[in-house]
Amino acid sequence: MVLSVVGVSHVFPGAVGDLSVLGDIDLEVRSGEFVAIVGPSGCGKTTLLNLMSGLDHPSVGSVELRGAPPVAGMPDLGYLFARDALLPWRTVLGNAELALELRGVGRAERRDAAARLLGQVGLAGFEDRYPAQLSQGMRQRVAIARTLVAHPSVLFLDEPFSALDAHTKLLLQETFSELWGGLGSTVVLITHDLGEAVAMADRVVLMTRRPGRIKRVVTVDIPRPRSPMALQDDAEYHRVFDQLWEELRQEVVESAEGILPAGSVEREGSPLWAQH
Amino acid sequence: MGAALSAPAATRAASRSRRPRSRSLGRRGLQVRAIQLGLLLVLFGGWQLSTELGWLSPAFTSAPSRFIPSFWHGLTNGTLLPLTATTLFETFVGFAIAAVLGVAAGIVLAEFPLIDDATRPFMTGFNTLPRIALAPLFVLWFGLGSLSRIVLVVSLGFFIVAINTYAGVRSVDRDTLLLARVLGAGRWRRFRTFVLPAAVPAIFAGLQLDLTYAFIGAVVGEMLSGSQGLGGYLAVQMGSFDIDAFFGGLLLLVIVALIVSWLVRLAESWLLRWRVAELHGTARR
Ligand SMILES: Nc1ncnc2c1ncn2[C@@H]1O[C@H](COP(=O)(O)OP(=O)(O)O)[C@@H](O)[C@H]1O
Ligand SMILES: [Mg+2]
Repeated sequence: MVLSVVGVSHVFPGAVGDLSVLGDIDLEVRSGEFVAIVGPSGCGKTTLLNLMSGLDHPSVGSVELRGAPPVAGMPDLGYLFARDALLPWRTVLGNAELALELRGVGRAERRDAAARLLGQVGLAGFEDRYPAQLSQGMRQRVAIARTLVAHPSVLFLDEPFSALDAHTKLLLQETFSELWGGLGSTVVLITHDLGEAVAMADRVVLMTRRPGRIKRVVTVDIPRPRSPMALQDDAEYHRVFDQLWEELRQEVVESAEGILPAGSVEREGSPLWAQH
Repeated sequence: MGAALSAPAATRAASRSRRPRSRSLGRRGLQVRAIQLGLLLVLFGGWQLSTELGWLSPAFTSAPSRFIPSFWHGLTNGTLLPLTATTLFETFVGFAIAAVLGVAAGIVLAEFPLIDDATRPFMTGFNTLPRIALAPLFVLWFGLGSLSRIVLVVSLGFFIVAINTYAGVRSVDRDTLLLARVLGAGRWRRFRTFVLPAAVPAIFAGLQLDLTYAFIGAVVGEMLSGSQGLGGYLAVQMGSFDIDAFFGGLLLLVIVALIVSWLVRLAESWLLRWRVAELHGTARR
């Protein structure tokens, strides 16, 4: 096991009362595995990822990464978030080489590596642009290059494609899947998008509404290499999607109760939250 | 001259964003120059005409036909240039000292909350003192020479730079700090690579204001402390009711200020190249 989460609960203390966010999570991730964690908005997905990646520490229970508590910033961990966090004063190349620069890799070597990776994410020729001159999708491609350039062995992705429009999202999922195929790193992907989870992961973990617990774990038997774009006709993809969809829908509806007018979310099979 | 130098960096950067990037004078550049020349002619022409028609009295407001020759005479007979050199010396030395001290103080205060909290009442207190009103005190302490003016200039500029630097360092994006953390940046790395560059635009805006106040401080200090520099010249001319020479001196002041602000703008457009891209209408965030 690369990562193990044992009996983790998490509480955010607050002035008006404590907020219990995660309830008794047990989860193991094998080396080289791609695990997606899906759940309704606000159920504690980001909190769980932060605990798994050392950005925060659980109130109860323990998280171990190769036998020791994870520490954020460890060199073989990679992170990718919904917001690209590109440094606006650095060029595309300057952003992509950041991780290697911080590690003290020589200028020529890190520029080579960054340029190669930028080529792989489809940004050859854009090395000298500034982030403000790029589209949202291109910016996120730079962020992918920035994350992968240091060859992290464990990748933590928090809704990395959710700020993108539907087409760009598919293209980036495709690019990421391709690159990941050649890396062999372990991936934990947080998403609210069930289609994305099923298309990309080996295992999908479904969480309940807050306080998030694990409701169901399903293995996805679609052979690799996969192309998220070509899965629309795949029987296994639809089988897993449909199996999880009804359960996710229930959680979403119930967590929305009291927010939306009665009955407005009860239309059976409504693809309100599916991007499928 | 205040307006020419003190337009905040952001405003100017924004107005430049609507302008084509090229340095050479394009069609647009020529239009701008033509309009500027027109405005100058309207200003000086209107002034002259009002004087000719007897609406303005040259004893109080001089007139272009009087102060331009006086200005030219002062330049060519060698009286004005050494005065300008004195004023610029005080301006730049005071500016530089205030810049170094102000940036350092702003960074320390922003990065060390304990020092920030402990020194806050002192910073606020000293910043509230009307420094210009202290000019006579500085003369008493540091004499009639340039030193008293440099101290005045530093006392004006220091807080401006410190406050802008502080705000810049504090305004760093949370995403940027998160990135520094996940990339494993240590304290110094985090500051050098993530925090300081993010603060550069604010620091630069502070430096530009510092320069404006340095110039004003030097001139006012000279006016209050005697006969040196452009300020001293202005005071002497006013004392002898030579209004034409006084306005001639003002004209020189304005020209010097414009040249300095143009140099600052060149430096800015180089230092903040990435901002030009950002403000150029292609930003999609
Ligand atoms: N630092 C924090 N302090 C207090 N409450 C928080 C904090 N971070 C998240 N929360 C709360 O915890 C809940 C779960 O948040 P999060 O893990 O971000 O959910 P998700 O990523 O599944 O949308 C939300 O109700 C959120 O408001
Ligand atoms: Mg989240």
